[in-house]
Amino acid sequence: MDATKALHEKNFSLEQVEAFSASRNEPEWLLRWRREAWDAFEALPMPGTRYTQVRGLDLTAIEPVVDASTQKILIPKELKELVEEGTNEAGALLFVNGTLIQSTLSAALKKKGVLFTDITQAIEEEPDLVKRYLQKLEKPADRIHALQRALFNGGPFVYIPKGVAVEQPIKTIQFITESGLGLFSQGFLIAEPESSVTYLEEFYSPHTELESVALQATGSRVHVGRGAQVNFAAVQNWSPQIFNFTRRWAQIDQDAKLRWTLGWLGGRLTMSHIENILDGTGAAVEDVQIFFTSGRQHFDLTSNLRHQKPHTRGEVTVKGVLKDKSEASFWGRIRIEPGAQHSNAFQSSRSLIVENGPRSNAIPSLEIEANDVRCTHAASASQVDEEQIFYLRSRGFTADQARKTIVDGFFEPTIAGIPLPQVQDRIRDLVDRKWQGQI
Amino acid sequence: MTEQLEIKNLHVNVEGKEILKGLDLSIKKGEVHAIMGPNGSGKSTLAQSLMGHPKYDVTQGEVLFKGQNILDLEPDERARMGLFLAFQYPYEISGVPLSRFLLQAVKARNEESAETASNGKAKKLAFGEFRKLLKEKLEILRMDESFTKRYLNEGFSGGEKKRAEILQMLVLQPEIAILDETDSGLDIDSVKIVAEGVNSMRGENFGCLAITHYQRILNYLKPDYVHVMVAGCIVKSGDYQLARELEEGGYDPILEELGIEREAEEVS
Repeated sequence: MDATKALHEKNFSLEQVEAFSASRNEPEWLLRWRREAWDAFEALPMPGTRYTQVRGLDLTAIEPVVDASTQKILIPKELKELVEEGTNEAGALLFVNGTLIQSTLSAALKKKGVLFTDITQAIEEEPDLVKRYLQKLEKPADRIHALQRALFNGGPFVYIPKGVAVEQPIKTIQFITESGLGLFSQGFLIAEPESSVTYLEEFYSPHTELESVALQATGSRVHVGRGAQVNFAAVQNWSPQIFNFTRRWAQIDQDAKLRWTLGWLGGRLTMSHIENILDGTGAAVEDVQIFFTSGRQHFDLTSNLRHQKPHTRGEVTVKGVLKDKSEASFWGRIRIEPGAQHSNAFQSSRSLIVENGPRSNAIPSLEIEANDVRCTHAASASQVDEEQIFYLRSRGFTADQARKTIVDGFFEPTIAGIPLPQVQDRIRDLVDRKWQGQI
Repeated sequence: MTEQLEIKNLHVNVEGKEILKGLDLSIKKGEVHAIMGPNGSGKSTLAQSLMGHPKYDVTQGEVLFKGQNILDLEPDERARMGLFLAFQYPYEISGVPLSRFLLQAVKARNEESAETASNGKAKKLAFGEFRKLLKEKLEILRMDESFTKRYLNEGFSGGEKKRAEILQMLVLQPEIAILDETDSGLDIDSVKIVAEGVNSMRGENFGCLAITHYQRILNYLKPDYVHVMVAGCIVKSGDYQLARELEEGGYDPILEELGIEREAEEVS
């Protein structure tokens, strides 16, 4: 088949994967790596859970983003503001429709050996480093995950050398303006021992402009070295036509700390999977996820804790509000391996249902193979209490204001606990706008 | 003096059962009325119906507030007109600090003043003014400012909840306030403080309907009228002296005098 033609085919094929790799002059090992992923794509089923099937996504109608040069990028006004907001930050990457269009990193950080760049650039500049981490990735879990591997064409590559403290947050913005696209991103965040960093991701698209569906699949691998501290926050606010599949895998070493803060607001279907591997004595992870679904949105969120070493600590908190005919499921597995004595694991899922339509599921599971550990989980789903509504209305709040006040109050303690003021503000603002139907 | 709140022949059903059976009551500007009555006589039903709780079904009668029939209005519309209910059992609103809640409530109340004001301009309350107002009212109730940082009623003791209700009343400055057993569960000092709070509102533009079981709070409130409510109606009205009689002799002498048989106790 003609290579150029294959590259832009809508129907995914091995020829397309090969043509894509060739167009990038990729090394042989990477081509092999992509081919393996392609084999997995052909062998694996679509992602899905007991409560979630992928419906309305026709893979043959999706065109992968493979070639930056053919794209005309016009930065929308709302995005400009978002980028300008980021100019105070120590570094920022801006991807529009999967293509890197802006990249900044402070001179001071560059001097310290910090890398913050698009992975395709990192492959050219630091091939051995990227190769080492790409080859560590777990096997693809499903068809979309494999496709994301086979066709990834970008993603943030963050590398913090040993002992380097990055004081200001660094940030990646992913923006989609066109429908019919398939965006496949592979990111890495490597924090070497005793380093620290705060890293933000924003996923964003204009709310109404997409005419048909788009597909966005992200893989992220986080390594938190011995004694390192990573604060990873991501806010997803895709437009309602986007199918979003996110898989994040974190390895946390001895005495290292990782904190996730994830805000889920947009997208048509969002499937997110986080795997936290507590792989060193005293390793700790905290995972806080906030979601707000409306319309016919569907979220399926998984956060697993795997305690492999003693004195490890894991805490997962999921809090969500559901409106209209939306649906959300939370899956959380805590596994404590035999060697992980004196570990602490806690998991909670709370959802608030605003009207009668939505469905909320929480499915915790525990596998405990050590006898001296603390492990608890809690799940609840409650309706907005009409007596509370009446109480607020008796103080002059309209029915809508009363409901919003209860929703704000439900989120507030969790939002107030986010260690990043700008993320707190962003989530509050998005909740407001979503409540008003603006997004 | 004009009628501020007029209740005419009010009949209310709760879950299909008639609880209020033709109640009449009229409160003029600046008056304080007290309603006493045995358990199950419908006092709380009256309070909730006046505020417009959807569970309380008004089958007959009228309630005029400032000359307007409010029975078709939503609870928040009644509140913005200047009606206030201090709840017997205030609800906990998790995650909403009392101060922020009060600011929002004041804003909601002011929106209405803007609608009714002749020039159509909103009476805007600057944040600084609000802080000042709040501080002043906290002092009247001898409450610490740190109290307003706590989430609304969450983890409040019974007494704190009641004080918070009165704080809301003081900040919102209603024209008619209904106090639904605000004194129950309070110690003597708290009853006095709560009553002082209510008394600080006394004047031409404030009327009050205090529902209570005890004379204690009335010693401080000194109501202009005391009404006895039995089986969904007001059966006797008098002045402050009537409360004393009730405190001493209970309800039986009055029931006997009026030839009313006491109903089996039910929760109203």
